[in-house]
Amino acid sequence: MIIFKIVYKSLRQHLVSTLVSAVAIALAGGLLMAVWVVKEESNRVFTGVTGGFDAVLGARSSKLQLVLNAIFHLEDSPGNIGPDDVEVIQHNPNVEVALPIAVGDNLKGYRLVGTTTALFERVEFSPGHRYQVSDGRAFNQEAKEAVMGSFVAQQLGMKVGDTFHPFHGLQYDENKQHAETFTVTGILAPTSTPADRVVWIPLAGLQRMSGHDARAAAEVSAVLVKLKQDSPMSGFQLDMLYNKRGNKLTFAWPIGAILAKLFDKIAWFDKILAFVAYLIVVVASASILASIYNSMNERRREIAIMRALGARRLTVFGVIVVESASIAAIGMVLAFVVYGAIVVVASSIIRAQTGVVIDPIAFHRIMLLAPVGIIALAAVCGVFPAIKAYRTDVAVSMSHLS
Amino acid sequence: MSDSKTITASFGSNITQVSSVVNDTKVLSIRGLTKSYRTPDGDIKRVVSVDAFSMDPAAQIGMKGESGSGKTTFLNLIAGIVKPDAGSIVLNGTELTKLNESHRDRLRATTLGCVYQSFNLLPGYTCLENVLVAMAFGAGQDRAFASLLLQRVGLSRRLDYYPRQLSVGQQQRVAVARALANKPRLVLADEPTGNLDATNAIETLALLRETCAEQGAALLLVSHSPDILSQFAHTEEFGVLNRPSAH
Repeated sequence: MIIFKIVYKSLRQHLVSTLVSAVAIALAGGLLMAVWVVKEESNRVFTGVTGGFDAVLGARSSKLQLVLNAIFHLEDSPGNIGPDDVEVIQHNPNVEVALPIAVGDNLKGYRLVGTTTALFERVEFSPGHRYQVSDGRAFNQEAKEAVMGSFVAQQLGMKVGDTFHPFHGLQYDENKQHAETFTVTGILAPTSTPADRVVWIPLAGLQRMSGHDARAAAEVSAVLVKLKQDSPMSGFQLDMLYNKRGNKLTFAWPIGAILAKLFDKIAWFDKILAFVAYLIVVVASASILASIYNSMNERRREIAIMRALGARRLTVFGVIVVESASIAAIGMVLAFVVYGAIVVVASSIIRAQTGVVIDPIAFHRIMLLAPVGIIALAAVCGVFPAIKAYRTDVAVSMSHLS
Repeated sequence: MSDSKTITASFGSNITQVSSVVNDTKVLSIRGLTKSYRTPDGDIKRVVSVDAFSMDPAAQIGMKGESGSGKTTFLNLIAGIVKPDAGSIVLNGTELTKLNESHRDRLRATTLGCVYQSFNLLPGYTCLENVLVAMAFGAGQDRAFASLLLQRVGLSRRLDYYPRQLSVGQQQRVAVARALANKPRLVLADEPTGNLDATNAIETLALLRETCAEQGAALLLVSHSPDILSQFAHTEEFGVLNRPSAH
């Protein structure tokens, strides 16, 4: 117990250097945990976000582009597919839902997606959870009406009954406003999926928007496909049909695996981020070492006095090691504050950009490993000044004191 | 000296049998003690060579010693801080020279009290904490007894003061209280009044002698001041006791 009391005293005596070192550890530990959790959560959430669909059928392109465009509403559309192809997939016996979507316009940067009311009636974005209009009602397929994603409604401050003019293209340009006026009939209940940052309008409303190519009025940008659960081979069969034998369309299936491949491709970036975070941890731990080591000359007096009072060499050794570990422990408590701040900001950015919500308080093993590892590392760093304390010659130090 | 019993000391993985407890009525018995140092020139210089010296329990001895005479080394040898080249130091019945460092530390904490010229208080600790820390290394912390000691040296209203908030005289009183914290059998005082003015010096000396007597602790005080030494009935001349050139 005396070791902890002495450590407590020492930390108070060297309050400024203790706080500086602890803050360095807090930043390092917070960053390490945040990088890890954002990476893991993003990976988990993005590969898990399917919007309730198993596949996307679109124009010939990369599967990733199709998924990003049709599910995450991020990429440009690779092209359109004709009504015949839509009809074929809709009547495929292995398909439970084939939901055509059309894109090409926006409302102040938020994408307008034309579709059918089947979205609200037949699709569950996660098991047991349908796309529900929480305020108002779904759009009428023949009218110029819209259902706002919850995030869009919040960001634009729109409510049921409001009207708007769409803007042409996927990028917001105030000079490219369409003449049509759409009325908001409902607000989509939050789903924590990309659907929240989309303005949903009737398919025909987007296809027939003024200024669009009339020849393409019957075409769609993609078809979101939900396969029947009782036909496990259907995905393989459709993959074979469209991707291997055909050369006109691309069948992006399964969505989660396609996203997982994307994360695999950018795994090197994660590793660099993690490496930088580890490096910061090492530097922060080294700062504890430097701080304590530099103070050893000043502490030699106290160590000599304690040794003269009967403290053993191992006691003063232990004091320094525990002190180093304690600074790291204080730092790691603060690190959770830093972690929280980083993850909250990161998750709000991810939500704004993709509509996907990552859970900032989800438990990850790094939350255990990082504190334990960093405190252990700091304890190891404390060994060097502790050896100096251990070797303090009491007689010499006392004669200097006297 | 001949009647010894065995204590078992553990150090690392080695168990050593140390015959270190002796039957001696003296609180301190020294025989043939020598200590030499290597000078920067490479020469060996003997600084302590004491044939015999002893103290009875509760005795108070004033020892005259000039600067550089080796008296501090002599006290460090008694305290077990420095290991002798040869000789015997029996402290409260324990042969100090046969103990390893860890056990010497323990013996120092439990048997000895030390008062220094420069007080050597821990600056980040209050008066009370300075006494309690000494107890922690020895018999265990006893807040009530620590307070009592500080009350005895006239600092009952300064328990929570830090050394920097005290006068030098008050600081030395804290040092006196700390020296008695573990109810020692022997108190070593190395020029304890060297940094004090004449009035404080006499007061502190009186306090040190009184408290040692009250606690039943022997007192070995080294000073070069005739005024201080004149207060003792029994004085020794370290220059006579220590004959490093005689060997």
